[in-house]
Amino acid sequence: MLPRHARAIARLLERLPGVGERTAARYVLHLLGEPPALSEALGQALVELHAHVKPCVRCGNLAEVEDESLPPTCEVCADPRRDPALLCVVARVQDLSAIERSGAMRGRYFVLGKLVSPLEGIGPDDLPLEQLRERIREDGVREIIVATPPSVDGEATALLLARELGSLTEPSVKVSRIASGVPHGSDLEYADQVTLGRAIAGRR
Amino acid sequence: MLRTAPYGEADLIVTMFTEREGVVPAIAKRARASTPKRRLFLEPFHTLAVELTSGRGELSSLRSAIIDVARPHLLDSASHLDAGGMACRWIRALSPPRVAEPEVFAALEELLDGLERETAPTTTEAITRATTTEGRLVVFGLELLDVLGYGLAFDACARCSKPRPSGKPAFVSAEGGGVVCEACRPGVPSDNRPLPGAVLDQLQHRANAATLSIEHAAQLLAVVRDAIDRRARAIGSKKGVR
Repeated sequence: MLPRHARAIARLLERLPGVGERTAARYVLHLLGEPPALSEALGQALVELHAHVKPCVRCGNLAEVEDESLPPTCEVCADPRRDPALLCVVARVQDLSAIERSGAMRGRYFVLGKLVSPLEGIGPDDLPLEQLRERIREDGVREIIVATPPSVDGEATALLLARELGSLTEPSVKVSRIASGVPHGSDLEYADQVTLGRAIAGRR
Repeated sequence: MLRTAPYGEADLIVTMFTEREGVVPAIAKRARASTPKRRLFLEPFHTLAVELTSGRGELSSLRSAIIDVARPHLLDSASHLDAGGMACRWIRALSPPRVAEPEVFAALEELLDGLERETAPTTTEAITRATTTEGRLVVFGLELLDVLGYGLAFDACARCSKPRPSGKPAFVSAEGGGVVCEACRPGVPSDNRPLPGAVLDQLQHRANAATLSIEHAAQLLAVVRDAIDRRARAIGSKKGVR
């Protein structure tokens, strides 16, 4: 059993996603086995985290705060080479990062923060739709790619966005949805009926 | 599938509504880190074939979950997703854990099958479809309340038990527990519009969604939602199921 102080830190670590009791204890033991400088650097970085990293005021992505007198703006929004007329709507910052890793997106992003959930009763009023409309107007967005996950919540959100944004006329906006299908490198044999059905329906 | 929630490093706590055991909470080990070969399919609105074993405490252990009946078209309609979600929320709020409710299971399958069958709307069909969706939810909600012992009375005043003559219109109140007669109505909040006797006669003998008009389905859905919300609060749900 860990001493009281170490146990308290393990309890805090357990609150992080993907960290269970054993992993938390392993982290604490690892830190105790390393020179104190590592724990001190980690502690100091955590203390400063919220002061240095804030949500981008334009898209909700994470932004490094360079100048406290200016609103935080992320690297993507600050990049003049990005096409402002193309906007990709994602649920979470993690999804934005995944799309960025693909290198396929030349436009900018908007992070919703959550999805519509029919099972949990989360509806349109819980989403930042007014901010999204404002962004579309300000940037003159002409095309929106809805990149929500291929789940019930993702589909419900995509349908909502298509309804809410597809009817915009000033500017008129084309709303598209990322394709869904079988993952690259996987076997068709193990794909479920819904995924395969959608892959065939969306064939090209 | 009624709900999934992350647990620990890679597990999920799932709440399922099963034909044999009713609402079952279970742990799905490594469900968030599964390979395609061992993947558990845990999306709502499809009928799943699942393998459950006794776990520790109240949680069963979910070993496998594959699609038995897929309902892919339901995913293409926001109103159908809302309706399916509402039905699942009602079950989660009202059905006691581990009590088999085969009638409710059959009613849920009928509702989801009906939503799946409805095709993409044209302008005029959209109105009919919206009606049908609400009507289907009304039928399901009434069945759920009936089976769980909270049924609304349509044959007699829910307060004084005075029989309602066949064909006679009446006011319906969720708080009152069904139709309320003129004498009892002043003390019971109800909709300001009475429902026609023909509609109440249908409801008395198990409603058919297709026979409910747009207006009556909407009016009844409000009553059913209110009744389920009140019942959920009465049995301990703080937020209800609005």
